[in-house]
Amino acid sequence: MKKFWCALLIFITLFLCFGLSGCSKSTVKETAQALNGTMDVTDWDIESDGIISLNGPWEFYWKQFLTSSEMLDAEPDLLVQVPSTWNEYSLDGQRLPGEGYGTYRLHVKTGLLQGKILGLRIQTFSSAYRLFVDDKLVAQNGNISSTASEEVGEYKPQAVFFSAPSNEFDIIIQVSNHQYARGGFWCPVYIGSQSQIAEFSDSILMKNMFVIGAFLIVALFYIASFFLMKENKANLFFGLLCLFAIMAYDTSGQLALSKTITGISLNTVIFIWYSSCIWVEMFVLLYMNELFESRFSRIIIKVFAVVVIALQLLYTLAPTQVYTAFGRIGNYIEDFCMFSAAIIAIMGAIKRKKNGWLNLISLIILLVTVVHDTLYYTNVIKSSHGEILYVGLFAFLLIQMLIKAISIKDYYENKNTAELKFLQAQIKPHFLYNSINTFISVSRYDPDRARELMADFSEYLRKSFDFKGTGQLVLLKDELKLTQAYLNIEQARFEERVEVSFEFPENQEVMVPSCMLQPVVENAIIHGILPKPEGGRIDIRVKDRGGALRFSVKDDGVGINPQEIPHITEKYTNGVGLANISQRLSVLYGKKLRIKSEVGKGTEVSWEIPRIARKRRKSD
Amino acid sequence: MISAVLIDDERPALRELEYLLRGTGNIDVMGMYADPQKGIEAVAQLKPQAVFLDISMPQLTGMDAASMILDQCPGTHIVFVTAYDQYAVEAFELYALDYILKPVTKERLEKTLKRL
Repeated sequence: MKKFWCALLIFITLFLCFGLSGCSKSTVKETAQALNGTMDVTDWDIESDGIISLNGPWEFYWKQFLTSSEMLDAEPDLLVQVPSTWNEYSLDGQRLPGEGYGTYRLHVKTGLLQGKILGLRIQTFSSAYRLFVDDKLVAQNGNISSTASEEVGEYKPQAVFFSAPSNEFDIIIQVSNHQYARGGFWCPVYIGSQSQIAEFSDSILMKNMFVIGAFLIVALFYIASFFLMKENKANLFFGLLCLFAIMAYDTSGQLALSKTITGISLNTVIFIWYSSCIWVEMFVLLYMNELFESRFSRIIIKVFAVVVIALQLLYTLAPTQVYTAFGRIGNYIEDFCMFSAAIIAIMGAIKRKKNGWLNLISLIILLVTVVHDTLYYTNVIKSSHGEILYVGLFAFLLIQMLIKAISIKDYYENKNTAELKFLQAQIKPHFLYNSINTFISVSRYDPDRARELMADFSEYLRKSFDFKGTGQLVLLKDELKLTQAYLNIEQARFEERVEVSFEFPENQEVMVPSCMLQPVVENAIIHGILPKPEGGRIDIRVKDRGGALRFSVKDDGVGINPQEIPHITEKYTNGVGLANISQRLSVLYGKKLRIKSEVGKGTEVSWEIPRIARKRRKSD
Repeated sequence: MISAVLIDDERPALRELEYLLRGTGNIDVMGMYADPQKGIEAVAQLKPQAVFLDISMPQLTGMDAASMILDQCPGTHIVFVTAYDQYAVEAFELYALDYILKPVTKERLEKTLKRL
């Protein structure tokens, strides 16, 4: 059955990958390529062939802002393959620095009529640009300048429109960069008819908003879940992971959200981009650690926490240009993180931890889309689907939500079973029948005693059956009555083998969690005293220490092997074991049972709870 | 008359069972033991035809006690007397003659005696 669901999930994801991506960007014609600074697309039938990218060799003029007319006398320094940053170019045997400025030029030959309205889809140039068609300024981001002080950087993807000056024209792009460690023409530019570019731009924005919207809803859902159930930290980590993923996705992509904040500077955008990326990685690891905790994952998150804090300090304190120069190191750290997350996920899956395989599948799908897009952007593979990362992200979210749904289902099942088990444990058929058997026996020779015992028995039943949930508080007085009633019955059953001494505070009008003392006493009798043929003695003490109540149940029974103690408080057994009580204590007060024991000498179980005065109700 | 030894770590339960068994007039209760270890030793000496054995005893479970008795005196009829029937299958695997639930009724006990 599990396999069936996995298969179905993979099928749906693949369907989404190819279905969704196929309908959005398949219109980009891939065959057009610029050649030596000229792109000849005279055979381009704009309506049927659709959008083309202006990738290919462009003329490049370093340290010059040239216009169309100035170009006539100038010789290009280089022919460069775009998209690429100019850090990759060499001039006179020297690599170009990231900081600087220059002009790119492409001559486009088309078979189009003069006055045809064309559109350009421009992602960003690092860090500011002006784009001309012949002499006409068509698009601009920020303010270009030859000096750092006068430059204003800006990343704002846009679609712009112009009318073709003739069937041939120059596209000239002046770029300056004094902000980022790498500069230039790093994203492709697309050209097409007005409606095609408008549609293309809309589809990019739509995909973008779709992913952001999905992540946002999921983030809010997980964070809300965390606040309702604080012990589940995985929810918090996944929620924050989604929030940071939105920031990283937006600032590294379409800036759809970021550009709505007016006056946001390029430095701020880059700061958010870099910071959110490392926090995404941190929360991926923390999330994986919550799901599949192992020694390896614990070490990895410690190491990574140090790295993240160091990087965040660097991003905060150092200027943008300095830290963006570490881009490659950042990529290695990212790879290292993803690799570690993959190992944790694989270990989880191999160890057959809950939802291990599902989780691994979601990561694999995400990884496949990331690899696909990396290869696509580096022109290793050609694809008619364009980028598919957003489909991968969506599939990842979908599967994570499925995992969440499974865990909600499990939670309710466990909760119901736990409550049922608790009730069953409280009823303790063994104890009930033995008690009744005892009353029958005693009634034959001491009817008065039998009557008293039956009164105790009903007291015990009433208090036990009153249990309404692990968080229920009762008066200490009632909790002590329950314990006393229980002990009276046990003493009737085992006679001189069970000896008891009490020490209670005078003020018993304080609230305590219900059904804690009696199960511990019962535990001491069954596992401490009764295994000894001669029986033993139990000292039950409740001390009021001002701010806290201290409970202690001490027996002189057989004792517990020291190695066994951790198991006793962690492992669930049938009955209301010590594990149950310890867990309730930790849920209610963040405390645990203390167990001191020596084999052959006895055991002392103690715990402390804050003293809560009785709530005054109107009916009181 | 059938000779029997009763073992149960609750003395009131022993008294009640003894009361009921004597009431049938067919059983000679040779001894009653609240300490299962002492009970097993007594069975080895007294060699009763039947042993009425409680299952849940913290010192020694009735199952283990029964195996020990059958090792020493094969052929002894074991009758388990218990408050809760979670061990029935295991008990019959040990060739128990019968398995009765507490509180025991006179009618149920007479059925057991017919098997002896």
